[in-house]
Amino acid sequence: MKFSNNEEHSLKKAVVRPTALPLLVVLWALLGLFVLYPLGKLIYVVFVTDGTLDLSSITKVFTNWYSRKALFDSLVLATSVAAIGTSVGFVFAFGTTRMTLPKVIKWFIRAVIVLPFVSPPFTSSIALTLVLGPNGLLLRLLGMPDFNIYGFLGTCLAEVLTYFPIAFMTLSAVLDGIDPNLEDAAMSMGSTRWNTFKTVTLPLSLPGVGNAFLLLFGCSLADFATPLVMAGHTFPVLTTQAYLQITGMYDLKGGAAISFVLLVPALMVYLLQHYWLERRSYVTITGKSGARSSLEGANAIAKVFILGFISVVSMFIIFLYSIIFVGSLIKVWGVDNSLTLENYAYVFTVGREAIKDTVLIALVSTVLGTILGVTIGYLVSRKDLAFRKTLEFTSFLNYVLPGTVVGIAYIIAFNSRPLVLTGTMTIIVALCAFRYDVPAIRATVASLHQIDPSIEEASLSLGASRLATFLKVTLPLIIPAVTSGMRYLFVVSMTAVSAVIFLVSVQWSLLTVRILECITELLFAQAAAFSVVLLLIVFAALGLIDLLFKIAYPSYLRQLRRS
Amino acid sequence: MSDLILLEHLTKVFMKDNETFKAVDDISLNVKKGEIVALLGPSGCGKTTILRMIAGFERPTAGRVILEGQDITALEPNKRKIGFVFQNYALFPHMNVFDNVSYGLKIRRFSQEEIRKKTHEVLEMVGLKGVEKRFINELSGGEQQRVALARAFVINPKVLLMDEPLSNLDAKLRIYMRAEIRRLQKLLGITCIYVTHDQKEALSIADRIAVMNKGKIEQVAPPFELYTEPKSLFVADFIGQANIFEGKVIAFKDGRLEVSIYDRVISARFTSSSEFKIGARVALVVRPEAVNLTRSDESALKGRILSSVFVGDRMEYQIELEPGHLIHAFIPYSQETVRFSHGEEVGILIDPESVLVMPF
Repeated sequence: MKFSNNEEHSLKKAVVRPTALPLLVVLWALLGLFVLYPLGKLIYVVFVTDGTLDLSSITKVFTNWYSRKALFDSLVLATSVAAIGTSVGFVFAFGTTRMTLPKVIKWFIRAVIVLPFVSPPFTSSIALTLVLGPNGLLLRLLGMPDFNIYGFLGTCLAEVLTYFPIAFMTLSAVLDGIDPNLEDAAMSMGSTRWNTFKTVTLPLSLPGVGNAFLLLFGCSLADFATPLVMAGHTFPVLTTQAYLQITGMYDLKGGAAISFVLLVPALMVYLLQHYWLERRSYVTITGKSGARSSLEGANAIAKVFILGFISVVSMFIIFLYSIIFVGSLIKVWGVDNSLTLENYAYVFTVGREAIKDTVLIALVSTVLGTILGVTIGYLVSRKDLAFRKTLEFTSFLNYVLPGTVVGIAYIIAFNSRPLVLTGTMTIIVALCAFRYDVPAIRATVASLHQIDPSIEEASLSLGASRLATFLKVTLPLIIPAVTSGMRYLFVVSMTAVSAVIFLVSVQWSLLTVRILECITELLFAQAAAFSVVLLLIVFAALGLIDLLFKIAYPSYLRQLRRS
Repeated sequence: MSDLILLEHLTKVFMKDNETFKAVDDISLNVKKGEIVALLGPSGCGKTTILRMIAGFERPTAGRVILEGQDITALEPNKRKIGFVFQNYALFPHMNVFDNVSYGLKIRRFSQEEIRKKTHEVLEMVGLKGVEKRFINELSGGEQQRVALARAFVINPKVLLMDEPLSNLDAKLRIYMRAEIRRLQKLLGITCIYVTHDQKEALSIADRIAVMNKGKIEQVAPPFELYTEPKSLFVADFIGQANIFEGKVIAFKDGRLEVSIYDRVISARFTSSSEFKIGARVALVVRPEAVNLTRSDESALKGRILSSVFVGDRMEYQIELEPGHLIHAFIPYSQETVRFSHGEEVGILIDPESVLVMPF
C-alpha cells in the first residue's frame, strides 16, 4: 500500500482544539430547550389528543379542500419560483463570470443583490402593489387599470425578484469554480461558444443549478410575508393558512397541523440538498487553475440579449426600490400625489416603540447568536467530537424549517408551563439567536477548515500553549467569519417576520409587524416610510459593524485590500 | 560529540479506512550536536511522520524520542524547545513579518527591548532587514521561506526540524537557499534534521543522510559513502543513477570477482564485507559515469547505440546490450570527445573498481 503525500497529510489531525465538556453540556441543554423541545411539543400537539394518538388534525388538512388547495398552491408556487429564479440567476451569473460588463451594469447588479437581502420581506410586495396594484403607476401608464396583480402572478413575481439573487450568488460561485482551461480546451478543439456552453459549462454547473433550485424552492415554500400581501383569497398557501388558522380562528391545533404538513417538504429539500447534491459537485478548489481567458463566453448577438436582460431586470428592481422611497414621501398614492413628511412623522410617533424594541432585540440577538454560532462552529469542526453530526443537525433545525413552523412551535412550547415565555423579549431573542446563528456556524466551520493545521502546530512548536495558540492564532483568523455571521444575524433579526409574528405582544412589537399592520389597513405610504427607516437602520448597523471590525483588526484591512 | 537526539525503535501505525498502515517501522537513529542529518526517501516513506513525532505533533505507537538524554516522547510540543520549518511555511497570515518572527519570544515573555533586538538580529541574518512591517501575502516565496527560517532560529531551538522547506521554491532559488541554510546552520551551530525527497538537496546539505523506504531506514551514511558504498539495491538505485544487472559469480581472481552477465565475463571489485560463493546470483551496480565507450575491439561487452543526448557538460548514451537490456553511459564532453552516432556498434568498458556487487 502506497501513501501519497496528500494522504499522509489528511491523516494529520488538528492538534489545537481544546475540549470543553462543561461548554458542551450547557450547549446541549440550550439546544434541547430552544430547538428540540418546541419541535417535540409541536409534533405532540399535532398527533396527540388527551394522551392518545389522534391523526384527525392531520387528515383534516388533507380532507378540507381549502387547505388541500393551499398545499397544492404552495408546491406550484415554490416550483415556479425556483425554476424562474434559477434561470434568471443563471443568466446574471453567466453575464458576470463570462463577460466583460460595463461598469454601470456591474453597479446595478451589486445593488440588486444587496437590496433584497437587507430590506424587510414586504418591500417587493409593497413596491409591486404601488406599481402594478390598484391605482398602480405602470397600470395607468399602460392604460390597463383593471389588471389584477394579486394571486399567483403577483406572488410569484415578488418572490422571484426577492430570491433570485440567492441563485445568482450560488451559481456565480459555481461558474467561477469551473477550471477555465476546460472551456478553453473545448474552444481549441474547434467547438463554438454555444457548443462549449452546451457541452462543458452547462453540464459542469448542473449540480449548482440543482442546488440553486432547491434553495429557492425552500425559500418560496417558507415565505410568509409575500403571499400574505400578494396572494389574496384565491391563492392560499400553507404558511399564510397556518397563520390565519391560529390568529383568525384561534385554532392552535389546526395551525400546528398545517405547519407540520409544511415541515415535511421543507425538511426533504434540506436533506436532498445536503446528502445528495453536495456529493455531486464538480467544482474543485485546487488553487492552481489557469487564469480565466479573455475570450467572451458568448457571441455578439447572445451578448446583446444577455446584457439587455440583465439591464432590464436590474433597472426594474432598482425602480421598485425607488418607488418605495418616493411612496414614503407622498400623501395618498395615486389619489393625492403631493409631497409630505407626514408619513415619517407617523413612523416616529406611532412606531417609536417598535423601532426601539426592534433595534434592542436585534442587538441582543446578534451578540448572543454570534457567541452561539462561533461556539457551535468551533465544536462541530472538531473531528473527534462525540455526536458531532447530531450537534450540527440539531443546531441547523430551526434555520432549515420554515419560520411559520418554528414560530408556531415556540408559541405552543412556551405558552404553558413549565416555561411560560410568551410576551417576553426572551422568547423573541431566543428564536432569533437559535435560528439565525446558522450562517455564523457555517462561516466558522468553513474558516476553521481553511486554517492549515500546520499554522497551529507552528505556534505550538514556538512554545505557545494550546490556549494561547487558540487566542492568538486561531481566533484572529476566524474573525472575518465572525463578522459575516454578525451581519447576517443583525439584518435578519431586524427584518424577520414569519416566525416572530406569532411571538410579538403588547410589550414587545417589531417594525416588520408594524409594516404588515399598515399594509392590512391599506396605509401603503406609511408602510413605505417604515420600510425606508428600517432599511436605513440596517445600513447604519452594517456600517457600524464594519467600522468596529476595522478599529479592532486594522491589520486585516491591508491584507484584504491586497488580496 | 555526543548524541543530542536519539530515536529508539520509533514506530507509528495509522488507521485509514479501517486498515492499519505502518508509516514508520521500528526506526532508530542518532543525531549529534551541530550536525545536519537528512531524511531522504520517496513520498510516503514515513520521513515526515518521523519529524512530526520528534516535534510532538504525532504520538509514536511505540518507541522513544530522547533529547539531551531526556525522554520527551510524551512531552507537549510547546514544551520541547524544538524548532520546526514547515513545507508550506505555516506563517501567521494575520501578522506582519516582525510579529511572526517575534511570536516565540513574546510567548517566552522576553522584555520588549530584547524582543526588538533579537528579532532585528535574526532578520538581518536571513537578509530580511526593512520588511518588518510587511504582511505575509506581500512577500515573495523566497522571502516567506526566510521568515519561516528566522522565526524558527530566533527561539534558539535545541534542534531544528525542516520538512521539505525548499519544495515550494523555483529551481534556481532552491539551489541558492540550500547553500544559505547550510551557511546559517554552521553559523549558529544548530542541530538539524532535514526531510527531503530531492537527493541532490540531501547530498549538498547534509552531514549524514538516512535513506528511507517503506517506513524503514535503509542506510545512514555521509553523502560520499552513500554514493560509493550503497548497502542495498534500493539505496544504489535511489541515490544517483545506476545500471543494475543480474549476474552469476563464476570465479575469484587477483582479489577480484569474475561475474558473468549475458554470457560475458566482467570483473568487479571485491570488498571484504561481502561474501559470495561461486555460482551465487548477484546484482551488479554500475554508475553511468563509470562506463566508457570505444570503437576498438578490446572490450568484452558490446552493444548498439540506441540514443544519444547532449546535456551540456556530457553526452548521455543509451546502449542496447541485448534486445530489451540497456546500459546508460555518461561521457564527459569536450572538444576531443569521440562522438558515437545512433545505431553504431560500440565496445563497452567498465572500470572494475567502480562495479559494486551485492546480493540480488
